[in-house]
Amino acid sequence: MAVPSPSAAPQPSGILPPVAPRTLKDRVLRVTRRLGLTGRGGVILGPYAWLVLFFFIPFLIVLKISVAEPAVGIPPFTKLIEWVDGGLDVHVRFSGFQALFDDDLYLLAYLNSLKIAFVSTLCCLFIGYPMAYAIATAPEKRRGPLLMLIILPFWTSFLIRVYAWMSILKDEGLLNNLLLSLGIIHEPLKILYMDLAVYIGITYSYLPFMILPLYATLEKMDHTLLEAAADLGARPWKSFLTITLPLSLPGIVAGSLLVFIPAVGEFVIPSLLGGSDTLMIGRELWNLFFNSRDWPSASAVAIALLAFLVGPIMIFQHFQGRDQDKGAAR
Amino acid sequence: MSDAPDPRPRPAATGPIGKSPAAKSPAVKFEPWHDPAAKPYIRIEKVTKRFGDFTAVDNVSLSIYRGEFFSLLGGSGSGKTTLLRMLAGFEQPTEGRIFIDGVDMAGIPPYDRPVNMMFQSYALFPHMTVENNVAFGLRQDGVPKDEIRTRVAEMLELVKLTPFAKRKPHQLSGGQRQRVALARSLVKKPKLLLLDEPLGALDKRLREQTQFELVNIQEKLGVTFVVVTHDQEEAMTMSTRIAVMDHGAIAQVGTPTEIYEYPNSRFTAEFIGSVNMFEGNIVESEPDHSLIRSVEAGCDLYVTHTAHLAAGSHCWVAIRPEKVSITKEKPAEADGGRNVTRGVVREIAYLGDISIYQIDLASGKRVRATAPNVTRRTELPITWDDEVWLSWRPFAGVVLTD
Repeated sequence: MAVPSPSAAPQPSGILPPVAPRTLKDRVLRVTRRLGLTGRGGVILGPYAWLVLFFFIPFLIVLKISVAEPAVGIPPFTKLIEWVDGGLDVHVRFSGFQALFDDDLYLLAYLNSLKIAFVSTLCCLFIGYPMAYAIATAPEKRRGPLLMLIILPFWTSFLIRVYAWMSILKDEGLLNNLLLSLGIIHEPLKILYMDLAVYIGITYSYLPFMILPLYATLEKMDHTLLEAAADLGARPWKSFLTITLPLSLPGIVAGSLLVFIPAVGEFVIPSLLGGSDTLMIGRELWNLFFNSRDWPSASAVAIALLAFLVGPIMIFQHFQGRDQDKGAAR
Repeated sequence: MSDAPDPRPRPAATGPIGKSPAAKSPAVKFEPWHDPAAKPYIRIEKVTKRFGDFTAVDNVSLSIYRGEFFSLLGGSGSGKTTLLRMLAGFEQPTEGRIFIDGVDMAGIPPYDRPVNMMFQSYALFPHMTVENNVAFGLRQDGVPKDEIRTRVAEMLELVKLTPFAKRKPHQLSGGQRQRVALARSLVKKPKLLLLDEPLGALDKRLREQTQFELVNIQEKLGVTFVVVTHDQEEAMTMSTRIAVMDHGAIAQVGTPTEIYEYPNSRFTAEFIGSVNMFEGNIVESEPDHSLIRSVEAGCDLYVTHTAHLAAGSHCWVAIRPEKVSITKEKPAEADGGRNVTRGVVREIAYLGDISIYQIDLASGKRVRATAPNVTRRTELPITWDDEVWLSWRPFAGVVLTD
C-alpha cells in the first residue's frame, strides 16, 4: 500500500528537473501523503475511530448528563446548553456528584463492590491457577479439548447460567438436597440471596477470564527452567515459588484485572443471586437509572466508578508494556 | 584464554588436536580405565530406556572415572541426551541401574543428586540477574549469605563475567549466556557436571576458544565432566575418553586416539573423520598380520593390526585418507603389489594447509587421500585426470568385520 511514486523520490538536484505528477493516482497519493494518510495510518485509524465512536463519544454523553439536573420529560435531564433570550446559557450542576458524598450509601456500595470483586478475583485466582497449570502441563493433544471445556460455558447464555445457579443454591435446590440426602446437614443451608451466592456467581462466571491469560503465560514457559531449578537443588514446591510463579506474574495480573474490573461493576449477578442487602454499585446504578429515573446522579455514579477503575487499568497497561519490552529484547 | 593453544580452524579429517590428556601433568598418565584397582565414579549397568515402543537407550554399560572429561558422541537420536538425562535424574531407566559414587540412583530425584547439569538451551532464569542465577543453587542449600556472595563472585571471576553480574540474561550475548550457565552449574562444586551440547549454540570461532576454556576449568576444579555432543572434532579435542553411540547402543569406548586410529566397527570408522573402506576376503591370517584380497582396492592388502580371522572370511579394511600417499611414480618400497594401487585423480580440494584428493580406482571405487601442502603450490605436482599410484604402510589399515 502507498508505494512511493517515482516522482516523490528525492531527486539529486541539478541532474534531473523535478517531474510534475502526471497521473491522477500520483496526484491522489501526493495529497493523501501530505495529509499524513498512508496505508499504515489507515490501519491504525480503524481502532481509533472505533474507540472514539463507541467509547469516547458515549463517555462524553454520560459526562454531559452527569452535570445536568434531573427533569421530568424525555430525556429526563436538563440541557447543558440552551439559547435563552438570544444568549447562550450553560447549565453545569454537580448535584449528581454531590449526592455521592451526601448519601454514604454510594460510598458503601463502592467499597462493598471493591470487596466483592477483590474476594472473587482471589477465588478465581486460587481455582484458576491450578486449572491453567494443569492444562498447560497436559500432553499437547489434550490441551485443546481441555481449553474447549473452559470456553464451553460461553455457548450458553450468561443469564441462563446465573439462573441455573439459582436452582442449584436455593433452599430446596440441588446442593442442599444432595447435602441433606448425604446426611451432612440437617436443615437447608441459606446460600441464595446472600453475599456468598454473589461470590459463587462471580467466581463461576469470570473464571475463564482468569484461566485463559494464565494458561497463555504458563504454556509459553520453558519447561527446562524447572529442570534447571530441580537440578540446582530446588524441590518442586520451591521451584514453583521461585520460577513458575514469578514468570507467570503477567498472566496473574492480566487475569486478575480481567476479573476484577468487570466484577466491580457487576449488576446481573448481585441482582439475581444477592439479597436485598447486597450492596453493589452496579445495582445502585441500575436503580438510579430505572427506578428513580435520576439520570444525572446515575451518570455521576458511573463516572466515579470509571475513575475508580482507571487505577487498576493503568497497572495492567504498565505490566503489559513491561512484558512487551521483554519480548522485544529477546 | 591467552594460555590456550592456537585455536586455528582445521579440517575435520586431520585428527585429534591438543587433547586434554596431553595437557594433564605429563609425568603421570591419566588412564584410570586401565587401572584394575581404580573404582569408577559412575557405573552405568545394562541401562535401557524405552519411550513407548521406541528404545532410546539400549542396554548400555559404562564406567566413568573421577576427573575424566568423558564425551558421549553420536548423531541425533542416538540416545546420548537420554543417557545424560538419566544421569541427571530427569528420566528413570526402564531397566538397569546407575551408580554415582557407589550410590544407586534409582528413584533419587534430580534435586537430591550430587550432580549438576548445563543445559543445551542454557535454561537461564530470565527474571533473575546473572548474579542471582548463579546464586540460585547455593540458596537452595541454605548456604549463608556471605558465603553465597563470595562464591558467586569467585565463579563470575572464573568465567570472566564480573562486570555483567547485575544484567539479566536477555541483555547478554550468546557466549556470555553460555558462561553464566557454566558458572551456575559449577558454583555448587558438583563432583559430576553433565553438559548437554555445551558449545552447540556458539559460532565456530567462539566454540574453538571455549573448548580450551572448558578443559582448563575442568582441570582447575577437578570436576568430572560428562559431555553430550554430536561434533566429533569437539569430542576429540576435549575428551579423555569418548563413547560413540549409535541407535541407543554404545558402538565403541576409547580415547580419541583409539577411536580414530583403531575403530572397532565400520560405523565408528565412518562416524569419526573420513575413511576409505575396502571390502575383501582374508587370504591369510597370522598373529602379526593379515593378508586381504580386495577386488575393490585392486590389490592385496597387508595389514599388521588385526584379529585372528578364518581364511576366506569376509571383512573390510579401513584406511584413513591422511595415511594414503599419492605419487606419480610407482613407489619404490612397493612389495609384491601389496598396499599399492592405481587410480585417476577426479577432484582436488585445496584447503590451504592440506589438499584433499578424490581418486577413482579401476574398480570404480572412489578413494579419498589427503596430503599436507609442504611446498608452496605455485605449480600443481598432481592435477586433475593424472594417473597416480596410491600406497600405504602395513600399519595404516584396520581390519573390520562388521
